[in-house]
Amino acid sequence: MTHQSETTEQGRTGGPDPDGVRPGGALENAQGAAPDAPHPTPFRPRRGRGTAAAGLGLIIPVILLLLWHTLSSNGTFTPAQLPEPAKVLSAGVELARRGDLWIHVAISTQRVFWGFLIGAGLGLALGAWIGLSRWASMLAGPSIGALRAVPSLAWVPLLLLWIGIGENSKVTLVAIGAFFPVYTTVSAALQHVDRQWIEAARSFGINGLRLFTTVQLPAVLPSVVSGLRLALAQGWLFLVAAELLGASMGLGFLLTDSQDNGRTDRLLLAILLLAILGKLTDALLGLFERWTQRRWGAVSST
Amino acid sequence: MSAAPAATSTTAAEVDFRGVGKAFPAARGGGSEPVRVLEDVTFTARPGEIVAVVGPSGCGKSTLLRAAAGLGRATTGGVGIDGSPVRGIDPRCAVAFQEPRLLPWRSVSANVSLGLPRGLPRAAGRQRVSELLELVGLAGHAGHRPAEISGGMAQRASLARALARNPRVLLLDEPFGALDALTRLRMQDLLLDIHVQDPTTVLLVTHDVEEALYLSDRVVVLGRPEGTGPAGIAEILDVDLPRPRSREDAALARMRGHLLGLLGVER
Repeated sequence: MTHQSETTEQGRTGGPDPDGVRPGGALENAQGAAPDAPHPTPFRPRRGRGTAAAGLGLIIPVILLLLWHTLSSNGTFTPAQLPEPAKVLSAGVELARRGDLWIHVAISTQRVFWGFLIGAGLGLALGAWIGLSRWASMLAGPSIGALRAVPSLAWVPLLLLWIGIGENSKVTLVAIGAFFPVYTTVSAALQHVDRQWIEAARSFGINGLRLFTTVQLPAVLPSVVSGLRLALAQGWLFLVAAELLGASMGLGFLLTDSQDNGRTDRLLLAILLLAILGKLTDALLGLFERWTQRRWGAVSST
Repeated sequence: MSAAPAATSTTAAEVDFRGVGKAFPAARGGGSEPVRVLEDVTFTARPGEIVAVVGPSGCGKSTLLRAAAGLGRATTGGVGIDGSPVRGIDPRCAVAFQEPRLLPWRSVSANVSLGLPRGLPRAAGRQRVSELLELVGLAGHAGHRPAEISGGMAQRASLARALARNPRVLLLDEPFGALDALTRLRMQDLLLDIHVQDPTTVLLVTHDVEEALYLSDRVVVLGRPEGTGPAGIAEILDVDLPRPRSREDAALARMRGHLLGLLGVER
C-alpha cells in the first residue's frame, strides 16, 4: 500500500524488523499454532538500500527522457506536437527569468497547502468522530456518504456561484478533494480496530482519551498516513481542475493558456512541474510518516 | 468464608456468584424467546483459592468470568467481590484471555506495563515490569515485539500484564487453550509458581479436565441437566490434595474419570 521505512524501525527496536506485519497479521502470528520457540529472525534489509532504490527509480525517467528526445528530434513528431526536452527547459528558464514561473508554482502550491490542510483536518476530525462513536456513525454516516457520492467536480458551478472565482473557491475545491480520502480511511480504520485489543485494554481500566492514544491511534496510523497521501494526490488533481476552469495564475492556468497560444513547450513544462511538485509534497508526507512511527511506534502497513 | 488462610486474606479477595444467569436475544427469524445460556449459578471462591470452571463448549463458562471482570453483565443475579457488587470494569480483577491480545506495535515490556495500576510512579512501574518479566521468564525478550516471540511467550507476557495490575482476583479465560501440549504443561507449572509467590484468588475457565484437576482447589462443573436448555452447576468437586501434585496421582485419575463421566452425559 504505502512504502515502509525500514531504517526507522531498525533504529528504534534494534532487533529484527517486524517487516510488513499488519496489526491483525501480527496477532495471528503470535497466537497461531506456533511452537514455543522464537520466530526465525526476519531478513534484515541491507544498509544503503535507499540509495540503490533511488538509483533504480531513476532508470525509467532517464529512458523516457531519451525516448522523448529521440522522437522529437528525428521528425516522428512535429515541434508543435512534441517539442524537444531542451526547448521545454528553455521555456522554463524564460518563464523563470520573467518571474512568472515562480508565481504560478507558488500560487498553486499555496492553494494546495491550504486546501489540503483544511480538507485533511476536517477529514481527520469527522472521520475520528464517525469511527469512534457508533451513534455518530448512525447519525451522520449516511449523509456524508451521500455527499461523497457526488462527483466532487460537480460542486464547481455552485462554488463559483457562492464563493466567486477568487482564491477561496479554489481552496475550497481542493479541500473537498482532500477531505474524502482522509475521512473514509480514518473512519473505516477506526471502526475496524481489533475489538479484542480494545476489550483487553478496557479490562485494564484504560478508556477514553487514553484508550484512543494507546490502542486506536497507533492501530490506525498507517491507514491515516495512506489516507493523507491519497488526499494530497487528490488535492493536486482538484487544484488543476479548479485552475483549468477559471484562473489567471497557477499551473492549471499555465496549461490552458499554453494550449490557447499553441505553446506545447510550456504545456509540457506545466505537466513536469506538477509531477515534481506532487512527488515532493508526497515525500514530505513520507517524512511525517517516519516521524509518527518514531513517536508512536506504529507498525508500518505495507 | 472465614476459613481462608490468614496469610492470603490481605490481598486475595472472595468472589461470590449469586444466581448468575445469562440470556441472549433471540436470533433474527428465530423464536421470540431469548436464548438462555446460563441459569442460577451460585458459588463462592474463597480468598486465595484456585477455582476451575469446566463444562461443555457454549455452556457459558466465559460468561461467568466476564461477569466477574465487569466485561459483560449477567442477565440475572450478580457477582460480588469481598461483598461489594461488580459494576463495570473492576479494578480488583485482571483478565488473561485465550488469545494473548498483545498490541503488536509495543514491545513485550511496554505491553506488560499496560496492566500497571494507574498512578504508579514511573520508576516503580518499570521495576515491577522487569520483576514480572523475570517471573514469567521473559526478561531476555523485554524489547521484542509480539510478532517476534512464540505463542507460549506471548501468553506468558499476557499473564505478566494481568499480574502487573496487582489483582486480588486473577481471571483466566482458557489461557493455555491455544498452546501446544508441552507448552501448556509448562504454563500450568508457571501459574502454580506464581500462585505460591502471590496467592491471589484465581478463577480458571478451561475445557481441559486434567488441567482443572492439576491446578485447582475446587472444580465447578457446568452442565445442562436435560441435555438442552440453560446450563447450571452440575457439581462442585473438592480436589483435596496438596500442591504440587503428581499428574499421575491415582486420586486425580479417579476424579478425572468422574468428571469426564459428568461431562460426557451432556453430549
